[in-house]
Amino acid sequence: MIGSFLRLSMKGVKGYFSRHTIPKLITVFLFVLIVIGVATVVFWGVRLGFTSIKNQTYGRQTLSLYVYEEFFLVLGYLMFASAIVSGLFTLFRGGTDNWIVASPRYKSVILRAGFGILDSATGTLFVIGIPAVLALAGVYGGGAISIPSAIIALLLLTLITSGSAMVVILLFATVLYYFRGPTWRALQVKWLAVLSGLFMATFTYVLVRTIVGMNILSLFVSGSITATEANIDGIVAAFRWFPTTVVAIMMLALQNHAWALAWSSIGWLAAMVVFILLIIYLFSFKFLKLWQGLQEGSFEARTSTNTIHKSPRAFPRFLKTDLGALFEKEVIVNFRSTRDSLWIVFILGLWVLQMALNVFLRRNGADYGTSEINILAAIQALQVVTTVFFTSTFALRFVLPSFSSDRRMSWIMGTSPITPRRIFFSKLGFYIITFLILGIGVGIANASLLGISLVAEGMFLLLLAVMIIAITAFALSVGALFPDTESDDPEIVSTSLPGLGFTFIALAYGGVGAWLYYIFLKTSQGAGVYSFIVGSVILVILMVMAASTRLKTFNPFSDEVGGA
Amino acid sequence: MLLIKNLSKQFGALKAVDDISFEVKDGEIFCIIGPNGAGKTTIIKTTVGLLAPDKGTITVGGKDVVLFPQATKSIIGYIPDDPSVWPGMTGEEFLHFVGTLFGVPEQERMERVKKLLSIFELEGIEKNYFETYSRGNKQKFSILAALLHKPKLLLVDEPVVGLDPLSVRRAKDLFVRLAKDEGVSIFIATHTLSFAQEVADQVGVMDHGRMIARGTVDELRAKAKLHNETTLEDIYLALTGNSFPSA
Repeated sequence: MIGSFLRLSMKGVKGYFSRHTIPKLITVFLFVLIVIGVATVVFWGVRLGFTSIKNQTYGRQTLSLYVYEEFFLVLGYLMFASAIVSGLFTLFRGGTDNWIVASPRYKSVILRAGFGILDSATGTLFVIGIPAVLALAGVYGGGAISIPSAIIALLLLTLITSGSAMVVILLFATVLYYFRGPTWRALQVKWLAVLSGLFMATFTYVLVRTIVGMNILSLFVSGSITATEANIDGIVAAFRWFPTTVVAIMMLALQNHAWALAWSSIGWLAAMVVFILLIIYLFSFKFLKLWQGLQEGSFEARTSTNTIHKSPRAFPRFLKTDLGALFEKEVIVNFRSTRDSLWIVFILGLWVLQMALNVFLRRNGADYGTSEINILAAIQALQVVTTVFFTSTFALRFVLPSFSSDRRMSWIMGTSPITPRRIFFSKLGFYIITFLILGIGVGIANASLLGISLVAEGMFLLLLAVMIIAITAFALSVGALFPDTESDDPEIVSTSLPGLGFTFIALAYGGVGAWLYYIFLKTSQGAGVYSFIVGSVILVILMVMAASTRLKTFNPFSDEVGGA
Repeated sequence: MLLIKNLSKQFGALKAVDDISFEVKDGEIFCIIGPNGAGKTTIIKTTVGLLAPDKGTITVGGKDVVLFPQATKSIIGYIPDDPSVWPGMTGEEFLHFVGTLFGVPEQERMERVKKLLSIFELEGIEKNYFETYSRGNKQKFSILAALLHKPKLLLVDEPVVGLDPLSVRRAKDLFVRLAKDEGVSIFIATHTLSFAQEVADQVGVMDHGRMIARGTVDELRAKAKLHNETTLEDIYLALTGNSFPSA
């Protein structure tokens, strides 16, 4: 069965390159460039940081362990959260899995889903984990043993995070299965998503509390007055509840060439993997019933439940024109999709983590006596970068694929007397309003958490608003003019050539904006940031005009449009 | 109502539609039949504006579909072979959404939605999400959506796939009534030959992008040199050069 999945994957790769080969090769090349770029930054960052730590006497062990703990905690969280989101839809989706479930080897769906989840998690491992390990080996030596040991540990960590995500999903599905009932208690993917979302929210909250609640100074105390080096006990205690601590301790052991401790840590990780696999194996006996139950609600079995309106009401609700109908359609499509909602929760969770980091930076920066103005300037500039990053992530996932995702439904709008331009403007209005509420809301929340007055935040919020509008307009314009003809899956569309182009430009744009804003805060010289705002407004107008003019003659819903 | 002259459409090396000309008059039901890949859906998609013609002209209500897309689309109702709708939209929302796009006033929409739902007895499930509907119910909603703005030309691609026998009967009656009582022209692409035989005023037989025969069922029967009791299926098989030994 594994061989069949691998052969199918190889066929998929061949099939992918069979059409639009050159744009796809460029896409892959750009992907490789990004991976190499990020990996290089990670490598040199880790190398420089740990070279500096190595030269310290007092905090050599503690600082290393603290960085390892934080690093693997965040890495593990990212892998676990992404595995939860992808696991929900790879474990219980219908479609092509129907063929497998209809066969006597129906349990293979778990295996296939596991491969899918691992596939998405290993990206983080290769881009961040392995360059960091190579850099550490460069600093501390012992590479012949430490590199393979660290890679094995990282692979085991990937298996643990992906496997535990599957266990969580299967556990919630089983709970829902036993508590299922008629009407609203029906076993449905949306309830599974709600439970998983609540779980992730709680988990994120605990993580945030752990990060924000730590007093760095108390973690770096020595055991006795005569000791020349800080004691690691405080850090071990602070992170003891997270399984990633085993990897952190193992990395410290590798650094100290304490091979026995390192290998015993690998043994612990391997034992965790075996334990998780055993639980998944036990769940596999119940899997068919869970899978069958979760097909209802998205399959023909259900006919008369799921009522959402008790009495007829007007449609569209907001604006009584075709524009209002198109706008409301966007609301329905984006907010009634369990999968999209989960992605929103996932990205927002990361955003909340970043806010926690801001509070942490502010508090601990002050503890070390760093200038208040410098800290606030750095945090606000960081906030601009973060807002641009998250808006770009949302735009890449939702806005850019918007026209392509409507492809199967193109018969509805493409055959109506509504012009593509009007559809473009309705989408633009919807996404700009949504992202402004989100981005400005987070901006204000950050300001209040950091104790910055709203008046002082005026320029900050204006800059954020302009950048959010610019990025949204850019994503939609690219998505409308270069729709994907091969897939309507937003996750695939966002990794196409237009998606990568958008990512490069949006992040560069955000970097320039944040840098100019930092200069403004540090020097009170506003010429750069004012020019940036005016330039952005002009760019938005030009982009929208260009897209609008092109859409007079170009129909993105035509069955003939091409693109990578 | 629908006039197609020398229409050609090519996808790469494949000639999907090759120099086709025909007319569908007011109140006439024209059924087009042919094997998979014969070009039936391409004609419909080109007429409704989802594809652009390579050669030839298509006029709807006297207006060219390429030059006046908005005007022609506003009098066309389109029923696709794959009635995909956003899964989180309810049937009722879908009908109102389409009605609004076609400019049907709210009050009129409310009344028409209520009336149309009764055609296929969809009352009671119209507030459910589309993802919960069966293939047949999705098809029924797509049929109703095409009728909301009272089109003058109805383009139907595989009208009865997934419908239960009673609904097929209702669909037949509905199309015939629309054509005879309200003067709506109906162009249907189908593989369900019994359906075509029952409702069609004119039948076109397509093969490899060309229309190889056209006329009433009787005229086609004569052309195929078959006796009076033969069905459209026999005629089709004879005209497309396929025949099966009798059981």
